[in-house]
Amino acid sequence: MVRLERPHSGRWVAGVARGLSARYDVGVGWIRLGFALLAFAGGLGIVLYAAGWLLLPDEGSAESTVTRALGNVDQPARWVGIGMIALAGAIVVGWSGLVRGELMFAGLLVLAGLLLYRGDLPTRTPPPGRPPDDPAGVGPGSDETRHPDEEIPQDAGAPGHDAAPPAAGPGRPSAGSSAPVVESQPRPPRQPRPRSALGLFTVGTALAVVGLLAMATTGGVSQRDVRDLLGAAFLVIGAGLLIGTWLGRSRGLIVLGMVLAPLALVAVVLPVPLRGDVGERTFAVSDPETAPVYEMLAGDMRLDLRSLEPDAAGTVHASLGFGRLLVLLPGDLNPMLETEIGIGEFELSRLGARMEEGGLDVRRSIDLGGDGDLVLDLRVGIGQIDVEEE
Amino acid sequence: MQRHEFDPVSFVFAMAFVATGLRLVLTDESLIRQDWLWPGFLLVSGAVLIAAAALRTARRTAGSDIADVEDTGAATPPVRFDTDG
Repeated sequence: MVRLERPHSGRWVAGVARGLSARYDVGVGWIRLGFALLAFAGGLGIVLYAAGWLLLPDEGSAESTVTRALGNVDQPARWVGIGMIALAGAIVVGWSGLVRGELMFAGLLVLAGLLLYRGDLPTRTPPPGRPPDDPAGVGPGSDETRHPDEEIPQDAGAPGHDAAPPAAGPGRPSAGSSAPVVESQPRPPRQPRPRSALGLFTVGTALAVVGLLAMATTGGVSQRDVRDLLGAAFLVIGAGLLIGTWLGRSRGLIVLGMVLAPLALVAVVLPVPLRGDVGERTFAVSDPETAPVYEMLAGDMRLDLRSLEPDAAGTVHASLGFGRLLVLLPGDLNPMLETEIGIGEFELSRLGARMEEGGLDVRRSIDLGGDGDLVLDLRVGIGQIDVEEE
Repeated sequence: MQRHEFDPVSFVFAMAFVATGLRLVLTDESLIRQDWLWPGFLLVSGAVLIAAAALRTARRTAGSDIADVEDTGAATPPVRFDTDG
């Protein structure tokens, strides 16, 4: 069966369509038409073609670009990493609006699943004299490691010998060839690398930068919220890893970044500034036109409007990162409510009636019957907004 | 700290973290529009990875060429000068 690769002859761009055509015996025109049509489906065709370009080896080459760049893709951890990167790519591309992220992810899943099912995903060719990685103790020429389409070699050596898989493409000796059998040498123990100071240096710098920003905020020099501090930490960790790409090495920073990643996701999604006090506070509003923006980071926040006259006008802004925002209204005040909750619920109790709504990204605009001169702009990141009449 | 070969895993995560940091720090009033941040991250990361893979391939090819030349030289039988006749 023809090997799945990107042939040099007859290619229009990178030979992906031509390679698929030769491998699966489908007209190349149909495959090109499929890519073109899928390109209009949120850019899926372009993404799939690019994935094929990276995953399929060039004609005459034993390895694809991805295989060469990422090392031994037989290791499950590598595949998990590739999957994570693909998923992250799908999500962020979806945010950008250029390509629909879910379509891109679905396409990548279909492509990877198809290639895995067919056993066509490229693997690294072991260097001469060394058997391929065989953690299960399965010999290199056994049924468990052999491609279903390959023939059983007649001269397959015993485990421990370098019996290269036959006729899988260029770079591999064919079955029955007179390639010499090389005795495998035990791999010499790897010398432990000296520990790099890059990780400690980066973590120290990140802590110092975050500490300085927090002090500047506390001292009133600048107004930075939790989002800025987290962003600064990510920038420093990213810079440390970028240095480690060529100089020193500290992959532990990847773990640190992944631990912080959920916080970053939450910080990005939440519709409120993450700053202010933590605890329980009550803000009594007497004049909406001169009222400041009421902000708290977390806790119980009470917005007391009971001293307002029925003809009060203006806009009152209140935001809470995490917790419960309770708004106390007098019976004769009928403001306009503009509420937004990242994750949580909204509850309105008035004149004996009760209204509840919860979930993700809860936004409500409720007119309580006034003339619209008084507006309450209420935002909570994670938690709830309760509006009660007293 | 020792200089070493290009580490693609560290590079991809570094770029992702830098993009995440910029996404958190930048505001709507910033010069860099947030819409362009992630496509830019993917574009730069992909381009550098492809360039690194190409460079690595070129180095391997050059290394195998040198090894071939050395093998050929070792296989050449030494020249013997007959001084008797």
